[in-house]
Amino acid sequence: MADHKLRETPLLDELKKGPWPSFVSDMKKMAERKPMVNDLLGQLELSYKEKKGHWKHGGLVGVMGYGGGIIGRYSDAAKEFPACAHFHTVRVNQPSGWFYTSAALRELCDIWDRHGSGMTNMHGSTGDCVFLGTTTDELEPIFAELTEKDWDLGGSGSDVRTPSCCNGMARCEYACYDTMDACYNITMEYQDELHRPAFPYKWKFKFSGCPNDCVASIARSDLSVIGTWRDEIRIDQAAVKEYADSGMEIRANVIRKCPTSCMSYDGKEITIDNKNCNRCMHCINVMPKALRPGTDTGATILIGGKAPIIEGALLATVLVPFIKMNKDDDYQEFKDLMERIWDFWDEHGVNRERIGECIERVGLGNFLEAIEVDPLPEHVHHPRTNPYIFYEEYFEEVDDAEAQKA
Amino acid sequence: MRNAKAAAKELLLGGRYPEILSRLGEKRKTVRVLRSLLYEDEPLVKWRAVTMFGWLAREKPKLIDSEVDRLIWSLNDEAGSIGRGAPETLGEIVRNNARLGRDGGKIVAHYIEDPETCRPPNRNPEILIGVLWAIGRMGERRPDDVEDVLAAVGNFCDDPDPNVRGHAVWALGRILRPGSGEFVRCRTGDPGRVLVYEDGELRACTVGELAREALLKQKQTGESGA
Repeated sequence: MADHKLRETPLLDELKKGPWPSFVSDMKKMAERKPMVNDLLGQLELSYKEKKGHWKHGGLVGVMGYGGGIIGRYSDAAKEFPACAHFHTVRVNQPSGWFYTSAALRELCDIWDRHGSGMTNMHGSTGDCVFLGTTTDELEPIFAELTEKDWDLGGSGSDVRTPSCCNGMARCEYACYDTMDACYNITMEYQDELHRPAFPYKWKFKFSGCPNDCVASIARSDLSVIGTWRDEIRIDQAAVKEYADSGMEIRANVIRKCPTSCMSYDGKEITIDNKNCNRCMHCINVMPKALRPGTDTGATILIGGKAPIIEGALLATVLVPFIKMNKDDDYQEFKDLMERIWDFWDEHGVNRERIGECIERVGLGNFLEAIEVDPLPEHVHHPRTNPYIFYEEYFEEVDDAEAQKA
Repeated sequence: MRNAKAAAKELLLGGRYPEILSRLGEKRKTVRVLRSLLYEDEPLVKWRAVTMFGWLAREKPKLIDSEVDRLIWSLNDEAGSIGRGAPETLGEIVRNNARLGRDGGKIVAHYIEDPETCRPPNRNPEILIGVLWAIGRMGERRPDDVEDVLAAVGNFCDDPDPNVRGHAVWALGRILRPGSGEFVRCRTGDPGRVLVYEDGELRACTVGELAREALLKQKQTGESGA
């Protein structure tokens, strides 16, 4: 039984009806032993009643040595709901691929139960394990307990956000590189950039092991690393026959759905024109026993994805069509590229401008030149619409002609 | 980045400011390294990084022309960054190059009245001390720019936190305006310990010592303090 009076929440109670699990039911259970959650329910009920939020804009809170990882929240109805006057969020850097042991989960929950509301968001859209609701006084003790157990805070503000990845080679036969190793390596390499906001705006890395892109890196990260292969899709024709014998309509469900029409099936065997395959993964997903990614694997690097905040949403575009994600040299080629991109962003980025917006502003050609990447056909979004294009050679020819006249 | 940061730290601790650009390069990446050092646990490194921004504002303003916006944003970021070191750095930039950061100076000075940053119950003492220090540094050069926040600074002279009241006294002592003497005079016997950064060094002293020095300075320069 609660030793405090539970808030009446008739409007929120409507959300407990129906067949689905309700966050209100979970919060009410927690409200019996946590006054902070009880007052939070009260404040939320007020917001539903008034159709108005009661959180103030941010707040300057953090832990020593770090510039991010804590999101300050203060209530503007603190007199009425004193237990949730402070309701700061703590972002905890999740393990690569979101693998936890049950002991690790208990450890996190025990820490949070001692110092916060006990409510978590597993996981936030950032990828972090998010602790919801604590007071300023509890921030340093939480941080001390987390770091003592080898946990760390994630990113927030204008820094490298906590990198995230699919579970890659740990569970998935499609993984073309070790996403978990790459994600961990990059997280450790860029600790300073992760904890000390010094960029024009946020920077997100996401690592997907294959073009299925299970972490949606193409849409949700500034720098998306998507596993791919540069040889041929492996075909097991015996397994193709098994699929056909079991009743699969291979022509209808696989061949005709190939977006580039690079596949054919003669009733016995599948053939693929690999040069025209755009790695949509449909055939591999439908016939995983018969078709597999090639063996010369690596990743495609894409740049500029983001959700709409200042400008509209952007999908990332190809920057490097193929790179070997090489553990043995500590991903040096990747890191060298990152340094050049960040040097460019430092020089040309405008405050609160994501790299995708920055590239749109300065032009992809200028960006590529600055980061020393040669233009490639894969960089072209669509055929040009402006016919008035003058190449450098044109100006050189004009100069030569004028020099000859003189 | 790690090597650049270690080199910058060493040069800051040695007070070799111009050498930072010659060693790390006259580019914005070096500025990013310095921004990162504003979060340093070691206080002298952080404060010397602040001084370095002042040096850049004076000597290489183009290199940091976007920093004022970024520092202000870090104090108002909706996405959860704390803006550690931002008020002090903005104050030092404005002191050294008013044209580069005058708007930033006004914004920082008025943070002293902001209920979410400097007023209880939600105030952040570290940011508050940074704001007081910035007001002192800016006001020493251009007292008129901070005149309208001096009463608010004076109110912090009896704050329960000795570091806060020490910095309030220190700031008023730098600005030397009529009217500030009363706030300072009340603190001449204050034994509270304070760690204040001045003339490129961290100095441990009492609030009382700072108050007495401020009054002496006022007397020498002829301000009435009434």
